[in-house]
Amino acid sequence: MATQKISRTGVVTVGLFLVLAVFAVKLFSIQIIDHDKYVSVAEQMQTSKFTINPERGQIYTRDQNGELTPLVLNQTVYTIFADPSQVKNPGKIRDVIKKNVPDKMIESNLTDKKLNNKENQYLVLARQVTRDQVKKIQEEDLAGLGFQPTTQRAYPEGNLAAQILGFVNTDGEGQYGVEGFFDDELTGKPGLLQSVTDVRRIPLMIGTDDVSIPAQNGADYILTIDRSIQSQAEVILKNGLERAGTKSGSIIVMNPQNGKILSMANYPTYNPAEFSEVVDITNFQNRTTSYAFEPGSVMKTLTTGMALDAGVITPNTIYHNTGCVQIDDAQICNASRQVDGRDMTATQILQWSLNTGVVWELQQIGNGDITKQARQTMFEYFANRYRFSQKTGIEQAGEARSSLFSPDDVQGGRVRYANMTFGQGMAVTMVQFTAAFSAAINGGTYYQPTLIDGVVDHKGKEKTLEPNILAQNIISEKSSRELKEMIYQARQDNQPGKDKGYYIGSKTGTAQIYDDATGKYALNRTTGTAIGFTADKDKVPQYVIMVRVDDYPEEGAYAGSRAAQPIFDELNNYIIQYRGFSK
Amino acid sequence: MLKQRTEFISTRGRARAMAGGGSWNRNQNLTVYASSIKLGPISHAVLIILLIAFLGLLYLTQLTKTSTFGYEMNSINQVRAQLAAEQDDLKIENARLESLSRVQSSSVAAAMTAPVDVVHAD
Repeated sequence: MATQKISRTGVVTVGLFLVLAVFAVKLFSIQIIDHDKYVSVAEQMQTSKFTINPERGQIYTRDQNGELTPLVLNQTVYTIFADPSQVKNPGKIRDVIKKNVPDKMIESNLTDKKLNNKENQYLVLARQVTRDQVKKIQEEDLAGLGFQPTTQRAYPEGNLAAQILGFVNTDGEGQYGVEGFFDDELTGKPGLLQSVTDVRRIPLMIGTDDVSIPAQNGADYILTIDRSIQSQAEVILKNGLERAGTKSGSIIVMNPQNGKILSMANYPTYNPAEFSEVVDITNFQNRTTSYAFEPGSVMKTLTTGMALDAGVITPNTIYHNTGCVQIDDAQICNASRQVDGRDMTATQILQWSLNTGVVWELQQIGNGDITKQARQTMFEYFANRYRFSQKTGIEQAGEARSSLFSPDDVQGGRVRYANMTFGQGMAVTMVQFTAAFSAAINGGTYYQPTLIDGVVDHKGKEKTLEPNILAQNIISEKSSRELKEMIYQARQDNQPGKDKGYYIGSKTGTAQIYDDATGKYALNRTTGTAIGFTADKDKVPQYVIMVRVDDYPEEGAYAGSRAAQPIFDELNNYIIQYRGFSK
Repeated sequence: MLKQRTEFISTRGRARAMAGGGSWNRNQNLTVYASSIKLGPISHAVLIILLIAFLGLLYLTQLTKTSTFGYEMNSINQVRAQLAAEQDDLKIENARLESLSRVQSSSVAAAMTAPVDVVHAD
């Protein structure tokens, strides 16, 4: 049998085929069997996802010509960091940083030890550095330095309207004010970029699965506030409080014909650009919306409005002033005792601010007594018509609830309701009271108080918001007209000739402050309030001002007239001149 | 490789077949010269390989071009971001210059005189 000899070429050929076969099998395994796995691994290595941050919406107001004036803008600032593994000259870096951004550097990170730590790749050296400062540092061409852009809020008007605006914290979240209320809308929606990148993570746009969803910038808001009135209100409030010897207070100015807020001033205030330096967080709060308090005798205007609307009094109905009145176990007396024993008109009840007078008005609703029916009627007016039982919905974070007891509540007895007629035993916010007062003197239309005049959406389209009427005829038009005239007349009779022909009505109030420690009203701590309106020559109220002065230190019942009224008058005079009202 | 051949092809049969339907005359001799270049299998293979290589190169150049666009876009985006930041700074500067506190402390405001006749509601 002849042996078949295999040539060397044949052996090599077979060997090659075997090797190729192994390759083919392996390639088949990689490319066909494990195809999805390797595609996924490759995508993970080559593809990156980037979040596109939206630009936070900006906040504007309008000037007198209707032009937009910025209150809050965005500014690009930089975080300067070092990559110690790349740093060549730590001493030079330290010198340059210290020279250019001494107030923004993190000195503890500028040591030789940290800058020479080659295992670290990210060391923050300074924060919130401006573009100009970055340019100067970049000119030094230092190896191992990086600049990371970020945005921060800029406030061209400084402290103006700080509590209305709020601020954005270091996590980018809106806090307090409009920033807190509209945080989601101002923030916008982030976009997404998914793409193949190079080793430096630069998107190359060569993949078939690229995703590019643009960010949706936050909406811009246009506020109703008038920056001139706001600025003057803040100055006048500060000076007025200093004169009165008190530490805090607030002002609100509102257009009663549409509910638009022209000013909300608070003192003490703060600089929103330096919010982290504020020690007392109550300074952040807009206390015209976030603080419910006993308003005192300014409430007599609304009690009188109720009595007029209920048909139990007219402006000239006579009340015999007894000086004091006994309600169950409580004796209620007037602060002004010089008119005891006299017959007074309902208008004079306002003029002399008679507690017993407004208690009498409530008694008239109950046919001479504070009956359950009288209390239910009063609750209906206060809770539902003046809307004290609900928040106003003003565009401010942290609006406070009022405190109002129904007659069915164990706390809603005769004494409490007697006290409520002159603004004690219940708590409301300034914005609630101003909105109710505005409705009571504008013909009976309750406008939702608002700080927002318009919105510019992410497409740049401007939309002006229409006034929102929440209720009509909260009191009749006739009652409203009579009440307005009574408030005007009471002021004129109190200070004849003072207003030189302008149609101004106002009422002051002084409320004792309840002391939680003793469970009684403190004798030497009162809240002073003043509320009023100024009308044009056709007697149409153009704006309402309310002033609150906290913790007036003098004993007696004069915080309203001594501390709050002068602030009211000064601001009122300014607005009359500023707006150019005719008599 | 390529072989070059010259052939004479009689098309008489075809002409005859078409004689009744066109302008061809009966018994007319017609000649057509076909290309004498013929490709063999190796030539075909080489041509296909060249074509594939060319297409590969084309693909690669296009891919590189797209990547270059990616870099260009990135660079343009950076410039745009820089310009936007510059614009923001200018807007802020403008707003600061027009702010109330700046206006109040301006030389224009300082040169103003108090109004002579102001009627206040005291």
